Amino acid sequence: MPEINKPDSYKSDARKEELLSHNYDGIQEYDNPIPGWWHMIFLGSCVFAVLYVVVVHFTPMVPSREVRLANKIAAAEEVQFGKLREMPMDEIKLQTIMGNESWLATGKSIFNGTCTVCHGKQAQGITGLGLNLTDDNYLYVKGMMDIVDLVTNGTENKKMPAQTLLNTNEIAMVAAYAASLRGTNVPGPDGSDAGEVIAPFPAPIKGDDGG
Amino acid sequence: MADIVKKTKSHQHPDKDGLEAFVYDDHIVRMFAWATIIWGVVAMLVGVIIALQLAFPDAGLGVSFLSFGRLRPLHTNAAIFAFAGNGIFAAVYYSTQRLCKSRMYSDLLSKLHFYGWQLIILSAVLTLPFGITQGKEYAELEWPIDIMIAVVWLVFFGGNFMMTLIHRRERHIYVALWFYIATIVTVTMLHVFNNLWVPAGLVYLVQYGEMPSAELALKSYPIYAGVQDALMQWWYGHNAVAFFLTTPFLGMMYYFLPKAAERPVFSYKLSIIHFWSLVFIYIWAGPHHLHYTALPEWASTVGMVFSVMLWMPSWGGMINGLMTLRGAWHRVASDPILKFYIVGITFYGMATFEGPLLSIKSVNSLSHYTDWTIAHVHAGVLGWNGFMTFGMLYWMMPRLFQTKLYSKKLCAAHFWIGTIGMVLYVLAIYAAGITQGLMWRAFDVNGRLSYPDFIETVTILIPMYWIRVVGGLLYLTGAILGLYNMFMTWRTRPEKYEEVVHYAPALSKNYDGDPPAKSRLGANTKLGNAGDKFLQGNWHRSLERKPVKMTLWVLVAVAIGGIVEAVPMFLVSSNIPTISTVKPYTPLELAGRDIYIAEGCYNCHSQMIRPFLWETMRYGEYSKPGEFIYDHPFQWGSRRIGPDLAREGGLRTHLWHYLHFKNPADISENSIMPRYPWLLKNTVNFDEIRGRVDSMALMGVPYGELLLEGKTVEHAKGQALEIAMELEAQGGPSYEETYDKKVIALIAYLQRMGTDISKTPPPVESEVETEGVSP
Repeated sequence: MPEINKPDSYKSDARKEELLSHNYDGIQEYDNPIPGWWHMIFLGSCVFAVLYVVVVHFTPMVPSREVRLANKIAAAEEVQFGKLREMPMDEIKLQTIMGNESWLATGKSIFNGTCTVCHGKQAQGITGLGLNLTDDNYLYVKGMMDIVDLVTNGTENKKMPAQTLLNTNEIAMVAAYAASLRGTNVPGPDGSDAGEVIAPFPAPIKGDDGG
Repeated sequence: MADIVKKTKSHQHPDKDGLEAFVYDDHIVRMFAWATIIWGVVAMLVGVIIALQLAFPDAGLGVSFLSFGRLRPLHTNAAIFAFAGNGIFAAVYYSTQRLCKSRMYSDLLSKLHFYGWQLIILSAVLTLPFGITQGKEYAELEWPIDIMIAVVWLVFFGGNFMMTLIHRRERHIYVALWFYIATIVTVTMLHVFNNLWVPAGLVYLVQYGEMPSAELALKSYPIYAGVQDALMQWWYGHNAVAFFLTTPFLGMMYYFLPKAAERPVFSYKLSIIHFWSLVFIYIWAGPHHLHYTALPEWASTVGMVFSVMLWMPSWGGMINGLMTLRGAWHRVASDPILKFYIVGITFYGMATFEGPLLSIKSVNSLSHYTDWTIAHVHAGVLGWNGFMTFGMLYWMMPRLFQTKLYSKKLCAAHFWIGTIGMVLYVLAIYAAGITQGLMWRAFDVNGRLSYPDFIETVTILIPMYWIRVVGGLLYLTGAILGLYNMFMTWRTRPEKYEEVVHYAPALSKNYDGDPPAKSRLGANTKLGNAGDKFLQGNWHRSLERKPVKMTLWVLVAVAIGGIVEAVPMFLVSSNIPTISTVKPYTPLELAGRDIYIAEGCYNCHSQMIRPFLWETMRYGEYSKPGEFIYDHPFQWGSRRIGPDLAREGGLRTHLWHYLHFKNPADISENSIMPRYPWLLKNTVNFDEIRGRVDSMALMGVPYGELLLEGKTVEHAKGQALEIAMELEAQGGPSYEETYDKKVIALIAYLQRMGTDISKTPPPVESEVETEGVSP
């Protein structure tokens, strides 16, 4: 064992340590001071605490979390929906979405978060729960606007619930995306092709910009 | 010879030299040591089983009492109260006697404590897997067990401990004992105030003169609801970490570390200041578990800033631990016990740095509900509690069994296997937590969620869950080696344990041994001199002679934080603005909610949407305090292994839920939710719903006419039939087959969740409360 590791060698070099007279079942205690950095950080954290409380709760510098959320939502609406927000809910709105790749992508994202639990990952349908949305057979839909109605209100027989968490623009986008799936013809399970063939949906309207 | 001494009451019969003879009770320590290691193996085994279920969901075999939601509380309770708990008791019983130069006050109390505590653990094993739970994390045990805990802890353990201190033969009480005092006082306070309940079975018994079922007999509801219940629960939950997993282990460290290292404690001054700052500050930090929830923001801020201030008080313990090892480093290489201590204390340091970090609101917005928290607590429990306990057990083994340790090599193997297992575990779960947290909040170029399908954020974690299983298995293997080593050591014990007789004088009534403080300043003002005397700390030395006084001061220190947070939350109504459309659950929904609690759904699903865009886009409008006023207990959850359910109501059909409970994987590819076939078979006891509703009414939930007319059962059956018929219409099985099954009640609850807020208020009460105040 090298000399430097001997217990006593420490004492001799650094500052002198004083043992207190305490002795508990052989355990002794040094009278060492508390490290300076301990004090500094502890006091620093106390100062931070006071400053934080004052700045966050007693000055207008940090808006409340409700206000921050409202701002975020407003900004996000602009990014997500753009000029769609001014369009009335009609077939033209859906056709416009279908003609715009990024809006369609948004529709797909909503679809994946909302619809796939019943209609399947590829919209191929799930036995007993959701119909295949990729074929030409439709049970509750005669025209594109019926999709909007289904998402908004559900079916009367309660086999499909209303999607109450979506706002109008989200509903338009997811409906347009669902309509765009028609004709991709992913094979679904038995019974998922219920309904009858309906007239083709109107064609997408290509916009000049992404909105 | 030893026998004669044994008969003498330890604190009597001074012999002629004025010395009293006494023998330490090591038998009780041996019993607690065995309980520690055996329950430790059990707790870790259950941990590995549930870890496996996350990687491979069908590992629960579709059996009710093996399902994740029911076993996870068993794992946490066993790890905390059985493994760490018995470890604490072994440490306290061994060290207190020696630090007080006195046998434990009463052998009978010691034994009652031991058997009482094991009975509590056994009760946990016999209730939690069977869905008998209060549904609050780490406070799951039902009310009769709560009473047992209170009696065993405070009367048997606390009483025995305090009486030993009072009858001690050592003038001053050592820092380890301060920490034990803080533990006993605070855990009692936390346990009692978080477990105030109305037992539904007793309510039924009083109302209707009989007890319908054992299930109802054991059922209770907390008197708090919603936001208030959440505050109380995390005041408890956080301080269970503080005063069950920290303070007693610091006490353990202060005794066993200097013993094992054979070195004096680094700094007495530091132990004073970090003790008092720790116990005072810790108690305030609870609300950091509820950042961005419906808890008012001021409470959240209090929780955060006190957590930040807690950093250095916590590190005071680490500094005193590591610095005590100076001069003993050369022995660390050869002594696995010191290795356990070094790694244990290092993990303590890391976890107590990480704690304040996670309590910062913006960090917490990422970490909350993810595995990051799980990694954090496992670094704490496996590293700090586990390794400190193992270090203590190995140090005690040769002393308790009065023989040589069976194998130092096995002990070292335990250390290395445990360390590798622990590191694998926490690294995998840190990665999992951060990955999932980032995926939840990721937006794509179109301003939408990048991962709108929740499952995507789960599937990616599976490889890390497998690593966790391996890490957990390694840690368990280490513990089994420890058990084996202990068993083999025990086998070489002497035929009869030698009982060493110690002698010490009784404490005299009068004592003036502490030198009076003198001001070093010689200042002209009294204040200056008094201040300097205070700073020298002699007053504390005299407090160390008065354990009862010290206990009272500890009580004052730990009571303040809780009072400041809880009292305004209960008295100031603006903290929880009411919402006129939020109504009590129907009887059937209430029964369904109790099934939700019994199955432990809260272990995987939150019911709390935070005010972030990425949450409101995924789950809907963020949660408001007024939505939870009838939630006894609150079910906000702390981890989203599955998605949030706060606004689940109405989103899916009854049939979807029915099929999903039958087998989630049928519907949702890659789902890691287990099957719940028993919910489709087991029936609801409609009659006992009366007891549930009456209990709620007793706590002020306005059931009104329903109760007056005695139509609770009728109403529940009516709603069940309605749902069952709708289920049938949606393509489900015939309503006659399903209406009385548990799944229907649970669906009733799920379809109600979070829907009240969007209902149109009736025209009469059109004055809706508004939060905004106009100037």
